[in-house]
Amino acid sequence: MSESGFTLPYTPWRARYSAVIVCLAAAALVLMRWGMGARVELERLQDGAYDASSLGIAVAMSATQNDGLLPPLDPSSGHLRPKPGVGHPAFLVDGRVKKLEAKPDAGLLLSYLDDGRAFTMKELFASCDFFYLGYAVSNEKEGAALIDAYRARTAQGLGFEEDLAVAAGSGTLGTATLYRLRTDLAEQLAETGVKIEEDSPLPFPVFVERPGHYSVPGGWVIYLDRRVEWLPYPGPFPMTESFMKSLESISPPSAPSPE
Amino acid sequence: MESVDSPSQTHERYEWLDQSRGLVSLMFIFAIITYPVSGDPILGIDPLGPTFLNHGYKYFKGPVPLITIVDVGQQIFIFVMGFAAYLAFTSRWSKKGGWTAGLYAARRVGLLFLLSFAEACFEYPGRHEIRWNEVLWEGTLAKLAIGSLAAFSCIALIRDANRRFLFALGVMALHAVCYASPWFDRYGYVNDLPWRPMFPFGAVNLAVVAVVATCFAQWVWTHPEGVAAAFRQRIAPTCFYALGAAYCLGWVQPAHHHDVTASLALFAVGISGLMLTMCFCFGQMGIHFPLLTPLGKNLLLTFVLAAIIVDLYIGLYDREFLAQRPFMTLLLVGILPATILAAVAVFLERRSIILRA
Repeated sequence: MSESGFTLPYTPWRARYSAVIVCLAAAALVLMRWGMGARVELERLQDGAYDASSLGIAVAMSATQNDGLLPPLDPSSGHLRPKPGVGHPAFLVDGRVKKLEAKPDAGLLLSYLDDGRAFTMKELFASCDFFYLGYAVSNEKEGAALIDAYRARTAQGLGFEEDLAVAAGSGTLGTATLYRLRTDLAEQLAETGVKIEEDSPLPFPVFVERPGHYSVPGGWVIYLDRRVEWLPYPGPFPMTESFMKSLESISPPSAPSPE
Repeated sequence: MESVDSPSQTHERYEWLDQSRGLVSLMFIFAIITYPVSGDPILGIDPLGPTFLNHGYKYFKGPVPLITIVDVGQQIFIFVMGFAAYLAFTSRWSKKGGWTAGLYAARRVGLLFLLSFAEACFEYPGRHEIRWNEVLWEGTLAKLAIGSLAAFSCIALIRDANRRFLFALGVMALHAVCYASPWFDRYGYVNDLPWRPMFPFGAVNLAVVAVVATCFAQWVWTHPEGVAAAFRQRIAPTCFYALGAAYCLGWVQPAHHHDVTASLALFAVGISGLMLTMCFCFGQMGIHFPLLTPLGKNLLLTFVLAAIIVDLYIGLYDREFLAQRPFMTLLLVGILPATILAAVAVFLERRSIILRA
């Protein structure tokens, strides 16, 4: 058969080959065990980013039904979250999925079933994972003003439907007012003489994730322009130590739901 | 393309091998038929036809996918292709020299890439851009091309089948580690890491399956005691070990059709080897299914015809029309296209025409 002298041999199987396979399998399993742990941690990080994005979409959808205003803060003490039942954050996709009537604050989360055309309903605003700020604050000073105003108003039983007057220089971007989060905030600030450059990202966090969910200290922050950023903890505002402690003191992770 | 059922044929044909190729071809035709009528369980559109002959991901896509026998079909196809490619390549090398074998390999790989390019151009007429990732490594034909290239290269470079087998297992182990690691993005967009680079997991392990197939072929064709002894001493035990390993690995790294995880690749190796064993035993016992041989002889042609024409044909029917008439659907969708393809294969066989790369 071998006119060109080319032949391939038949060689018997040797015990050392089996030993190689066993060693290969053992090494692969050890490395896989290590790799899976690291990957699971990264996937958790990514899931947090997905959740943050979903929250951002839900409040943005709510804003489309409320003249651009994002939902007000929940006035019941102890929960930094959107006011329940306001703005119908659940939204329809192609008319195929209906709002969950029993849970008006449940949002639709895209899932991976069948080319992403399936949806699950989830309580978006449970406030156990994220703090909702409700007002436009961009630094420590404005954040402290928001905390003070929040405490004062909840103590008096007042709601958060209005912009809040605060001390001069403590309000949004150095004004005397803490503005409610709204999609046209840049235009509104421009009318008061405070300009935000057109191409610069909006510095106002909408949701801030509680740090401590991941092995890496930090959390996801979703801003008014719906960008999602990972910030280390302690890190830049709003992930500063003092601001996080203030938020935690208002809305502890184990706070019972008023419902 | 060439007809090799001629005096210039470089090796004899083996009926049992054509039977097994025909079985793969028939399964592939059924899978192509059921694919467009899988419905949408989420939206309440019931599937038509046998669901076990459709991809699991047509019904459920989750982090741990649903796997059916059809999800192993591509791997079985490439295994049988690698098994037969060994014979075609080595017989050319031994009878006509290395250059001829090399040219044959280059022509085959080139044609498969060309078909992959054609598929990318014509499969979706409305799409104006060519997706080069599909042409080069993600499309089925591209994976066949890469599998062929790997098979030919490994035969030439690692001539001891045992060492080649160990090399293939080593790559498979590396694949499993990389798939588990946080270094690479996987297929799909849930539980994967979009900011990581994509890795052609599917193409790599399909190539590994093709290389393993060449080892099986070499064990079969070079065994000093003959083919039956090779199946008894090497192929069948290896298949059972592969199935056992696939079962165990499936607990820690589930089978995935698109990424061809190691558990799926090992499962495919086990199933393919046992299918070859079965067809060989059938041949020894005189059991012969007439339709399978013509389909097997023109495997590539059947593959291309089924992939292009059947899909277009079924697309002509209104889904509601089919859903309300199950017997008509059986006839028009379930039987007619398969019968026509089988008739074409029989027609070509009777005229000794075998089209292949």
